[in-house]
Amino acid sequence: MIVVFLLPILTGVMLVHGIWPDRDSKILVFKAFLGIGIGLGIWSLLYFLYLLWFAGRHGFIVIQVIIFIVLLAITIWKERKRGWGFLPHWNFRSLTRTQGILAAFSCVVLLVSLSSTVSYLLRRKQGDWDAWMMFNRAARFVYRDQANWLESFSPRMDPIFHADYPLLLAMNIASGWDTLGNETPHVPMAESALFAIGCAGLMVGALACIKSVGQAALGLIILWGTPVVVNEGSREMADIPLAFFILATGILIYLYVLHKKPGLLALAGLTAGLAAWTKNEGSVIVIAAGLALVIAFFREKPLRALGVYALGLILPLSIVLYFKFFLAPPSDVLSNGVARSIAQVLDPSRHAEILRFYWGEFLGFGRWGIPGLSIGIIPVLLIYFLLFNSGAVKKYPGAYIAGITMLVIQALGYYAIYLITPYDLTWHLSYSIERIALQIFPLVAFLVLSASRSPESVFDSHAVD
Amino acid sequence: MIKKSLDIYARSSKWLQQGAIVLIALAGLYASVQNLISTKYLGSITDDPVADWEIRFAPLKEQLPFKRGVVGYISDSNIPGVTYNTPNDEGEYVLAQYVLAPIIIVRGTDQEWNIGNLDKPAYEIWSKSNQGQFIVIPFKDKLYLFHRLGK
Repeated sequence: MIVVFLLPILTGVMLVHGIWPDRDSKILVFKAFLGIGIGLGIWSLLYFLYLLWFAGRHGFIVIQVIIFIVLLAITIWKERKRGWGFLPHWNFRSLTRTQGILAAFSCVVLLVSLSSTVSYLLRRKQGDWDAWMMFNRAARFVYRDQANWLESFSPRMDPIFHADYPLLLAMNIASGWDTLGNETPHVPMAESALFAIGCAGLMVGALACIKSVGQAALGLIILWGTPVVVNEGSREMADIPLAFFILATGILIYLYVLHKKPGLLALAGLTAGLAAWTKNEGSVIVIAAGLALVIAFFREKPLRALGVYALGLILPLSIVLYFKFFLAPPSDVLSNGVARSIAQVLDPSRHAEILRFYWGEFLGFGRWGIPGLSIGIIPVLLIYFLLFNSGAVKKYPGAYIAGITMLVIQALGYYAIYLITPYDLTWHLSYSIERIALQIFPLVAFLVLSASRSPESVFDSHAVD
Repeated sequence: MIKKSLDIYARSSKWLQQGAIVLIALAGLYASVQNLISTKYLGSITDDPVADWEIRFAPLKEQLPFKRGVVGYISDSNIPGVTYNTPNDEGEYVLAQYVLAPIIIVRGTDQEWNIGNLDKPAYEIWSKSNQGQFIVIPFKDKLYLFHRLGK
């Protein structure tokens, strides 16, 4: 079981380190968590390719081990050339009192929320509704008759089971079962928890790199102190993995503005492509991040930035397009036909209904359940930004223009889908809007916290922000 | 005077910021503890309703002459005049597909092999209106396999 996930994670970490060989200890932490999602994503793509050529042979583990050993050898060779002095030196005594208190507090929140995750997973061993309908179901279709796995995408399947959905989670689960030779629910359980932990780790690592330890601890408290994030991370669904890739793409573009290392944009392309391999909505982030780059770097050779971004995008996007054009049945969301879709787009009552739900989610998403406090986390974050604005938005405008562009385009993409959905609009909105908000919430939280003064500057008189 | 006012403003602003951070930290801790407590209402750790569903369908699955293919599926909602709970009916349909994978289920009885997930009254109504068209193989827990004759 450990090998099933350790190989992809270590491969992901080595790949990230190979593309972005920075050795700062905080950046290493960020790269370790980024490696979780990238590793799982890359192995999911490779398992898909493996099945296309070798379905029924059950030899994927051999390929995994060979690739891992080759990557390990390359990493060791490259690191030996640079000298081993990079190993991080952790000095907890250097933490200020504020940092120590906040770090300890965030660890308590983390432990409590991790316990919630474990408790949830143990009580819902096979995940929740969408996991049965889509991700774990698709994994069963592939694993239980691997030789004929292509029949899993039959157009005869009821559209509610979404056989057209991208396969990141299903491929990982099926390959895990394939390696273990056993259809254990522990594989999807572990995968779900890993993405949830990875998402929190990305936030903590990035804020520690960009701001401070105190801000990173606060980011962890906000992310993992929000029940909907913790619970969705335990449901074996694709919303937290998608949130992971959206957050990673936003952070990598932010880091590119700071460090100007092209490898970061290539990684952003990779994570955006993996978002498209996770869920249909993930395709929007591919376009959103591309447009964000053009707008943010309009005055500094946007084509070059786009070119590097596209380089990272090639592998995942090619596979997504192949899957969509040659294997997947038509999507139910697009099944209305042109005439009916246009009629729906022109119907003002639909716009009003969508805006009403958007506003409701803006006010109420991520409620903490505190008696008397009915507002959600987004207004709290906006008030927090007004109180703590550090001026980073003016200092790094490209980073925030890119991040906000991504969020706006993603929200518009969801809006367009709701407009043309063939399902009852109120039902569709009620069923999905909280998870849609969840997909972009970590990036919203990251942008707000990265643009705000750190707790150290408020509590420690000598601290500079 | 102005300096004093600015000083008071700066100090009150700092207190506000300190208060905001403390409140957020406490709210996050409170919410995470409440959330942990609430997970106990999700059911027992020893229960796995989906695995029970798997066991329920296992004998029926063994009777099917293929491992991958398409079978029909009907439930109480397909029988006119029978009362049923819509969310339960939908949930059972989803679970049936989940446990039967990689067999595809489609609504209706147009296939050669069809599954009936029917309460007794619903089965009796269905049986009367479909006499002579199917061989019926009954299973435990209100499950039936219908083999269409003459296909």
